[in-house]
Amino acid sequence: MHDALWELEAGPDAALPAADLAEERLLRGLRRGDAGAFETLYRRHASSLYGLAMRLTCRASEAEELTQDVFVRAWEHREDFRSLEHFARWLKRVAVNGWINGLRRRRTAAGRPLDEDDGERDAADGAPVTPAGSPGLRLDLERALAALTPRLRAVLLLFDLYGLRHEEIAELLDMTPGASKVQLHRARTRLRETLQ
Amino acid sequence: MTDAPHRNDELLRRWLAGESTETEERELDRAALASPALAAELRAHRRAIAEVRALPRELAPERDLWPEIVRRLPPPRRRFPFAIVAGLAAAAALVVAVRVAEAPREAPLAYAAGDGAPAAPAVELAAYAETGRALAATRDELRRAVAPRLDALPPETRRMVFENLETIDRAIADIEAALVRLPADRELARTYISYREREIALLRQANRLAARL
Repeated sequence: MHDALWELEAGPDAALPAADLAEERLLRGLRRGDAGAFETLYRRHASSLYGLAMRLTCRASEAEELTQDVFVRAWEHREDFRSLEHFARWLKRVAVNGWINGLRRRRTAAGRPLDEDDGERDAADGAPVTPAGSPGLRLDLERALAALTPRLRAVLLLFDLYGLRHEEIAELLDMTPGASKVQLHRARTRLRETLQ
Repeated sequence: MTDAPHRNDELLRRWLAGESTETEERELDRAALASPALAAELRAHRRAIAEVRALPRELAPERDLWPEIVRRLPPPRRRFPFAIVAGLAAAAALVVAVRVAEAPREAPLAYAAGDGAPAAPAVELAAYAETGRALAATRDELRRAVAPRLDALPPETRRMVFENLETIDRAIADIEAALVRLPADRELARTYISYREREIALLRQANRLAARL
């Protein structure tokens, strides 16, 4: 609010580089409920979060809903963020959790547990929808990914695209690291078979 | 040699599971040099994995999701009234700290809150804008007047000025957040304008104090 005053005041911020200072102000704005700061953060992170959501869900409508859910939850937790890096990590974690939980609810309602991996794509997910107008994407790869079961797809993407370790994947997907390794093996094998 | 196929299978299994050590990966590469079938399988896997890794991580949504997010933001929580109370307390503290006898000006800048106050959101938004412009002008005034003499302020007073302004600022931010959710809430609008006025009054008091030094 009183940026001019902050500039005048010699405080801890004074020693920070300009970029860090801007980040700190953004974070401070978010914590105190500044909608402008929150929108700035949304604009900054929307594409990466939507990208993750799209990879996980393979459907634009679900990806949009998941992205919105995550940002609404971020607003509710705005006072908890320690840094913008923490904020970015939190978004991804909540997106994966939200997607898994939604999937679990749908499958439970259909009398089919999430852990069931019969090698067939969940019919409840509907036909995979690849991101339209995304240059450089191979549609056969997108289709091969969408043909994986949700859990296999998640493990593969989190490991190979997002660079998470098995321990991190296990924590996110509520499984053991050993199970994550088994799922990665299975996912990579099926992907290669589908692409052949 | 009789164990080589089994060993190769195990190396490939571990590699596919993402649990190979660097030594094992080198061993797998060496084994592929001696086995065309293994080499072909490894190439196919690596090509597929490379394609996955080359996927863009960022995708722009086809439509702007922000308006829907704003619509879904939850209403203010219980801390909102506490923040207002904190702002009031801070305002009182500042008045004592700077020893300014003059009472804060009560006349609203934008419109008089009363029976005749307009209820249309558009009119209220216009009122916010007017108040905001008044605040900006006062800030500029303060910056010009106080900045050269800031160091002359007693440290405790200076600290209190900034602390109290920050506290009021937080209260204003809470009200703004609530207004995002309830843009046509007349009571909220009055509170918002009231706090904007208080902030302006405090800034003016600080300005006057600095001018006396």
